[in-house]
Amino acid sequence: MVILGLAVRSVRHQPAAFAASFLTLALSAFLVTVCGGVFETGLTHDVPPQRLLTAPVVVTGVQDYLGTPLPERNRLAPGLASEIAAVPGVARTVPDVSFPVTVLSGGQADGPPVEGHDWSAAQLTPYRLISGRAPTGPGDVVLDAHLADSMHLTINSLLQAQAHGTVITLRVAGIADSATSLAPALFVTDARASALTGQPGLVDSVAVYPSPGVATGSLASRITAALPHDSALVLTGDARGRAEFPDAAGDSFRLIPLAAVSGPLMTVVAVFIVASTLGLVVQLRRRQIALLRTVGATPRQLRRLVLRQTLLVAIPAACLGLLPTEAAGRQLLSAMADHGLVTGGLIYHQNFIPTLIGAAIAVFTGVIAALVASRGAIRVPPVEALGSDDTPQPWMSWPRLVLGLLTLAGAIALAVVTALVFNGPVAASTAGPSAMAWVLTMALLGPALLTRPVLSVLGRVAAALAPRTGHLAMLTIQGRGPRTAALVTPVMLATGLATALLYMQTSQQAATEQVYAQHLQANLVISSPAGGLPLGLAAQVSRLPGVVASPLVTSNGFINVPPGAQDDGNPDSEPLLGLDGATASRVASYQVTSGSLARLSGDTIAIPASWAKSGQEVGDPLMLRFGDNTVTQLRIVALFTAQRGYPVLLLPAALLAPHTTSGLAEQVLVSTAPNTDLNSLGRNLSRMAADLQVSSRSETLAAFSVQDQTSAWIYYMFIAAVTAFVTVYLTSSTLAATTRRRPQLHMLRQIGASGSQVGLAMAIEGALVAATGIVLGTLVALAVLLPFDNAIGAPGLPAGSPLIYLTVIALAAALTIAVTSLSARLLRTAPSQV
Amino acid sequence: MKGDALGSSGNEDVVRLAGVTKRYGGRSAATTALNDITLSFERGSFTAVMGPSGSGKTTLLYCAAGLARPTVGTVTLDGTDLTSRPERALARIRRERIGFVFQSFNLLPELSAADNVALPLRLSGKHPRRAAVTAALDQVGLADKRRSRPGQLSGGQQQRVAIARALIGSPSVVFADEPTGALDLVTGAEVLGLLGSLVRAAGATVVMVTHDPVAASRADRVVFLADGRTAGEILRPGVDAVAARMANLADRGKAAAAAPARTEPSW
Repeated sequence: MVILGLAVRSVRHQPAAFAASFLTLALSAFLVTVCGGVFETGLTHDVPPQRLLTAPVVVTGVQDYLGTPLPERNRLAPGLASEIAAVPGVARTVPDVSFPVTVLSGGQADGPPVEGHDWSAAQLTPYRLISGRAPTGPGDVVLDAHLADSMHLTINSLLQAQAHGTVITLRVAGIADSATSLAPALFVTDARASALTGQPGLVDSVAVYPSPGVATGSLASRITAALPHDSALVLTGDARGRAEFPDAAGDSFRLIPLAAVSGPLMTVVAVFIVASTLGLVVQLRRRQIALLRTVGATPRQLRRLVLRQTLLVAIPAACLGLLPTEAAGRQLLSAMADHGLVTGGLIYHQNFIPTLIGAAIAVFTGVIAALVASRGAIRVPPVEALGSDDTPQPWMSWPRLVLGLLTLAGAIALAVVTALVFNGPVAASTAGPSAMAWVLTMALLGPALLTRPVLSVLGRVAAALAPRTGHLAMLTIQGRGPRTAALVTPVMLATGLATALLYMQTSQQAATEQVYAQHLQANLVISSPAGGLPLGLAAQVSRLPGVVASPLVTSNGFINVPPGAQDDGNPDSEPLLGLDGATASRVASYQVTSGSLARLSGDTIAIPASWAKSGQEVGDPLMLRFGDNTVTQLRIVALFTAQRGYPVLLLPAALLAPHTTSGLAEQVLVSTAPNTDLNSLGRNLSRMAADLQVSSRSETLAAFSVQDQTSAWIYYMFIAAVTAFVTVYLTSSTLAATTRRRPQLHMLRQIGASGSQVGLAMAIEGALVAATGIVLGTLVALAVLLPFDNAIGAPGLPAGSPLIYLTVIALAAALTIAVTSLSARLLRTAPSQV
Repeated sequence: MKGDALGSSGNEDVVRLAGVTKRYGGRSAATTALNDITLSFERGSFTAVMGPSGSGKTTLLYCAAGLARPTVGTVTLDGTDLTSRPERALARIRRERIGFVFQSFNLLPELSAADNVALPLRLSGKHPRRAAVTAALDQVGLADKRRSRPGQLSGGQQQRVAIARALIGSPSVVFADEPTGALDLVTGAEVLGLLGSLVRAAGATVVMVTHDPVAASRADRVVFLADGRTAGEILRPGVDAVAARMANLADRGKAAAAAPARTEPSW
């Protein structure tokens, strides 16, 4: 008990010192737990149904291929619906069909697309009519109450909308409402709905009601047994959400890698900073430990003291840090949904596992760090601990050297792998760990190898620029080498990570944009804010004088041609582009090495030359699995050169479109003859379809780059978190360092240095620390970025505004100098008061 | 056990250093703080250890108290060989048989005076009664300050609390490292007086390092150190004799530094 009493009193006596560890521990518990929560959310993949609630069993098409989510909606094969109805125990079945529809006012899109459904599906939520009647004819529509309100529509109003690329007019027959609040929706007759999907006769899902007395589970198994193997998904309970949100399957695919990289990275940063902060706090207590030893405390008692002191701070800190994690995780997820990274229906999960891990990492790191740091004071003969705190510290120790060499080896290996093995955007998966490895190496080996010479060079520069105070600053830094180097590390960490991550983003964007621009030959691009464009539009446009047009259909598919790809477990999908064979070479520029793009029609395909297996050439067959899981045999009609890391497969638009969810072209690419009158062209186009948007090539390229930025903000948040960490650490370590130097500072004042001279010397010291940290951080960033740039096909310095780098270093410098000067000011007293 | 002030041959030695050498520093900058010291302190005596700065007197104290391990040689306390004991045993010895008073920073700032005094006993697992602690503080005249924190006490008061703590375990030896170095003359004299009377009344031995001839004159014996070696002693020292010997040692040091290349005469 005496030890616990001592621990409590010591923490209460020096709350400021322990406050730093408290903050750091709380922050680390919070951040690591949230990362773990994101990981778990991706794993549990919980998307409960919001609309398909009343039917206990829902059958939908299989939405993945060997674990990879299908890029397009796989609708149920016709005939399966009647097979399901025939299963004993089924009372009745209800078809569910969805299609995107954009309401138009004045020919322009009025708001984002809403969901259109077949009226039969209304009972599945249920939606109940509150006025009017159900739709009976093809022109009838029932609106949900919120939609009717916001559009100011009532019974018998006319509604203009665009669905499946065509403008339609509907008359409001009724208004319905559901008990729960859902996305805006409208309902048409079953037949009209089926037609508006572009795949008439096919349904998205079949909802099944059991006969009285039949259990849900047994009905589900009976249906599964009755259907051909792997032809459909039979869903019950919360799993029914997969029928409603087929895109949700991709959420795991996006979240898990994200958490898998940011989680460990955050943990490493957290461990490092917690260990450093607690090491500092223990340093401050060396004198007390030494005193206790002279009074006769055993090493065991002292270890227990340090343990209790640390736990007294760590456990409440971890608890405090854990409190906001659930709420923060949900906020993070909804922000991700807003940016399109995940579907809105995904539920944030954080059970005890990530919570426990986050808390454990914080507490254990703190305890181990404190015990290791106090090992010196506890074990060496007390007289060495009693001495001045300013005893010379070694630049390097054996464990540090060994660890440092290990991380260096890892960092070099990752750099080599990134540069040589990976091509294209996938290189980002090793760049994250690579950043981690370089930061660690720098932290371990940097002080001895690099910080010292860099500091001394910069110190001489400072001495030259500000002779009196600069010289003073240089001397004090040199005398306290390893301690100053320890201050440099967090600046290096923040600068290096921020610069590396930010420029990885910009480089990747630039490379992708460059590839896009390289292949875009059209000088006009037509699109529609109301959705896709009908395939026939391109043919219409081509009839105009001096104009050549091709539809552009985009999708993804699976192919096992590229070398090294395996057909088991999470195969990668490749981008598919659908173009009109006749006009393809006029609107897109691909360097064809054999065959011709003009022959893209019917069941044909053009593939990158690097993918052709030995002996495979134009005329050979190729199996392609479309995004909706249909497998077709195609004939290769051309080989072309594709940029390493940016593969694409070219298909006839008419072949690809039916295998997409929308069945429409995303854009129409137009090439005009040099002296075509663009104004009259514009007028002609507007007569063809409502709400067309025509962009020039440069506008299209600009829009493309904006679109790419959505995922960048995740990195911004990560950087913000690291910066918060680093700020706490920097502040606490600088305050601790300055506290220890109080006698020295007082002595300077007593021998006649003025307050402002001392303040200036401290500021210069801060600037030197900042400058060294920036130099080393830049080296780390280069070590990460150069291999990465090589991998994405843009070797050399990263693309992106130099303003980013300047902002990062300006902030780092400002923070460091501010913290150093402030801490000096806080401890400043008149020379006579010692 | 009261002993004769002069330490006659009938009294045994409570602390004995035999052939003690202490070297610091790594391969590049090794310094020899103590060079083959053989010295003993009789039970019940009050010895001052003096010497110019750099003579190794503080190191001698630390080795004698088991706070530093000699590179060569042995240190025996109460018949126990400190140099062969593991750290846990040494800790126990520090609690039960040794008291230590530093020049400053004697007390844990977060504990009250009473708690500081009771600390060695509590670390042993004993529960000292309040009366015992109060009595210890009373002996040094600070019973009314039992609840005060060190920050609220003057330098002299802190030293007195340190003495009370040093004595509470009934130690065999009290080691003091410049105990009056930070105090003014009057307070310093008070503290020395306490050290002399209380410690001797308890039957313990005092070994005190000091550079102040006035303080040294309070001792039974002054041992001089220079360059890590013993350089004579004075029994029943007077202030002038001590000061003269110190000046002599300082001059010798200066002469040795000024003419390092002079060869020894052959005779």
